[in-house]
Amino acid sequence: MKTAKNAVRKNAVFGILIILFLTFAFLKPSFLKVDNLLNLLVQSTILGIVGFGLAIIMMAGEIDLSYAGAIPLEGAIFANLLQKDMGVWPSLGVSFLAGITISLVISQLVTRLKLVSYVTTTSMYFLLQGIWYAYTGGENVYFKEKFNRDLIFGSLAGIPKIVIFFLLLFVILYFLTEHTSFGIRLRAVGEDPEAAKTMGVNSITYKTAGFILGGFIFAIGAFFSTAKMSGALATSGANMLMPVMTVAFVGQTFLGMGRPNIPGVFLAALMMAMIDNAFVLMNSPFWAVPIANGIILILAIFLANVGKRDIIQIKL
Amino acid sequence: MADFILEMHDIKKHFPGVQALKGVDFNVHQGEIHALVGQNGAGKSTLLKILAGIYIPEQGSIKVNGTELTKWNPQKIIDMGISFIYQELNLIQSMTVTQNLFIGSESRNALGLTDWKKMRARAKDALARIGVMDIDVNVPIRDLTVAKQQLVAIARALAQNPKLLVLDEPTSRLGFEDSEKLFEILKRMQRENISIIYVSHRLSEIYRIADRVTVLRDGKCIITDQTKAISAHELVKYMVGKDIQKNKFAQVKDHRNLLLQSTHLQGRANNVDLSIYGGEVLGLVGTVGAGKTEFVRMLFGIESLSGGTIEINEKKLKKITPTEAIANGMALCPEDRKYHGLLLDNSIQSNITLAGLRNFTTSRFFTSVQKERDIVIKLVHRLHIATPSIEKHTRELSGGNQQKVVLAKWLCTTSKIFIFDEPTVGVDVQGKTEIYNLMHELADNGAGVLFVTSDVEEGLQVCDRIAVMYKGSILTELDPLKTSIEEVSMFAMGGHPDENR
Repeated sequence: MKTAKNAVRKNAVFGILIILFLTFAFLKPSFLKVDNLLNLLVQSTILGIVGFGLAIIMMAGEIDLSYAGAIPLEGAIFANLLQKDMGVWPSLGVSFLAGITISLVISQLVTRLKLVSYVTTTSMYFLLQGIWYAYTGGENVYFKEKFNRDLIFGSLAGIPKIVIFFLLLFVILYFLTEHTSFGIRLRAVGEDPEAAKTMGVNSITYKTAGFILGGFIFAIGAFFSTAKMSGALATSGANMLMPVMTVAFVGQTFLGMGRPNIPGVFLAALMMAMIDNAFVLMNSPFWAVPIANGIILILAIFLANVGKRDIIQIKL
Repeated sequence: MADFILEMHDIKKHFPGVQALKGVDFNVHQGEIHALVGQNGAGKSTLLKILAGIYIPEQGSIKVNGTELTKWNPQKIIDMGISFIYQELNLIQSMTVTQNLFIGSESRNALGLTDWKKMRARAKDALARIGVMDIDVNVPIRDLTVAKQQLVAIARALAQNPKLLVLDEPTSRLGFEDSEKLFEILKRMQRENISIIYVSHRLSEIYRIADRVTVLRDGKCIITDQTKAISAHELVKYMVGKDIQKNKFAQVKDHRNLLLQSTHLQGRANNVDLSIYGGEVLGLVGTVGAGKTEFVRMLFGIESLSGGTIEINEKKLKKITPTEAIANGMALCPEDRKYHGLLLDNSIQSNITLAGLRNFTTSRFFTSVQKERDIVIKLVHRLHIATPSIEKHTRELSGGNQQKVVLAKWLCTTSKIFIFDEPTVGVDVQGKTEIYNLMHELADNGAGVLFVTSDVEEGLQVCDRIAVMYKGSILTELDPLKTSIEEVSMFAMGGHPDENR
């Protein structure tokens, strides 16, 4: 009985993904076209990547919502420098540097000054939003023909490069967090800093590393989202705030793990993209997508928690 | 004379208001099991924390294996070959046994990834070394029993290849069989020439495994000698060391008004029969880990029972839940007030009125603000809670005043049975006296008070009747006016006072 419930918990997400997939394929055969499936994967990438970043910071026992401010700012820096003919790689370098600086500041505020990360990073989001307005004068920054979108959205052996990159990042981060000393210690610090200390693992070091790695991944997300829209848009961060949090938190409940994890985020991003994609294909009314999203997510969390007795306390 | 693995000389440590250690000498021989004993507050844990590098002493020197420590921090101490097993165990609950054993010293393969196969093999070896074969190294720690978690903690400490192992009350949460197993493991480690410092409150254990024993009292080392050379009576005398003040409260009570009776209560406490009468303060005395807290949590319906009944006013409780307990007039002031008894970020007022909220309602939904304020102010005065205002958050109060807020909370309910679990821990002398007076005031008004304490002296000074608990069972009931602190301590530590007499 207990093992049956465990099995449901572990595999619920796969069941739901398969059922959704079959239902959509049945209702709209064009859903199954290779082009559409690749498009679906592309849709899941940016959400998934930024979700990875957040999940890693959550593994260190903290949270970082500053991505909603950092992503448009990093995008604006990249687009602006590109317009000034600085070249793709230097422009990218500067925008990454900005991202890492932001994370460094946050990590020091949280680990040294002991500020609560939820409040600190929300404040950082507002601050960065303000800097974006000051930097851009409130206008969207486009880079037009200065950047060849094929670099990211072109195909390699028939598969969009961004998808290949997404899968690669997924594999790397999966191994990093689950199968390296760094990952184990990061999670130990995140769950019980006191116990980790007696084991000789310094929580300040690992939390700082978690913030910076997360910030680096946010910067990758910023690059892709800017490339996708050919520029940095004021709304690109705020639009991402809730969906990214959703994949990071929902991902916790998948696979019976009950803790932040990379595969959970990957599957959650895939699920959200699939719903989005199918409903657009079916020409369903504009209100159908959010309703479906809500119902399917609740169902997924329900199945992923079958047999649990305690109320799950989400730690921020 | 064997060489010393550890020599601590003239250690002094001062905390605001107390001289915790007044120049302690403590030596451990190569390969011996050395018991460190003393009552609560004697300075044992301060001494151990200094050894662990957590506290820095004002004075004194420490030599490990003949080399003097100059600067010390926790990691350095581990590197010098001293491992600690704390009561809290300090394991990561969601991680597997393997992961917990080797966090900080993971095995890696050529790619730099963790080598799980090798680590699992190392984990099995580490457990086999202490003779443990029945722990699956792939399960998360939280799925293991406390006894097995303890074994994992020991295996982890041993995997660091220590020369000296320090165990702080390792049996306080273990049953008889698991304790026996632990002793075998310790003996086996001794044969591998590992020295052991063993802190315990249980006499039988000390005589069972320790070669030598050191008694601390009031921050001083009273005696260090071969265990064989000291009788249990002498040992207890060294620990107690003084005549106590007379019990000013105790009266012979007529036991007419039976309020609560537990019969054959089973669970984490063992077959406990206890009666609480109206008008008395009953002391439940036992060492830390004797099962007192578990027992009162069972009475209150927080811990589940595996057998037995609870009667209140001679009526058997059908469901034993906290709601039912409160409805039947029970009130529990839990041991850990920060965690269980107080909302630290709420005002004194809202903490006090929380449990008795329905007494303040004017209509069905609204509370009467004026009535509430009046009662709270009256209570704050009566209990001498030191605060400028009843709006202040309880977090900002001192420990003693926080405890008084917890008491005040239950005073504005209509409770008849009060359970105080270690109410005086961290409270100053003045505050203690106020709490004692309050308990007797409650009793004089007809309530039954169960006062749980691990301080034998306090129990003797305050209670009308004393029940002594040891390893989850009540050994005996005593009259505080007709017993002695030695006798009660002897019972509390599992000895028999009539032995060697």
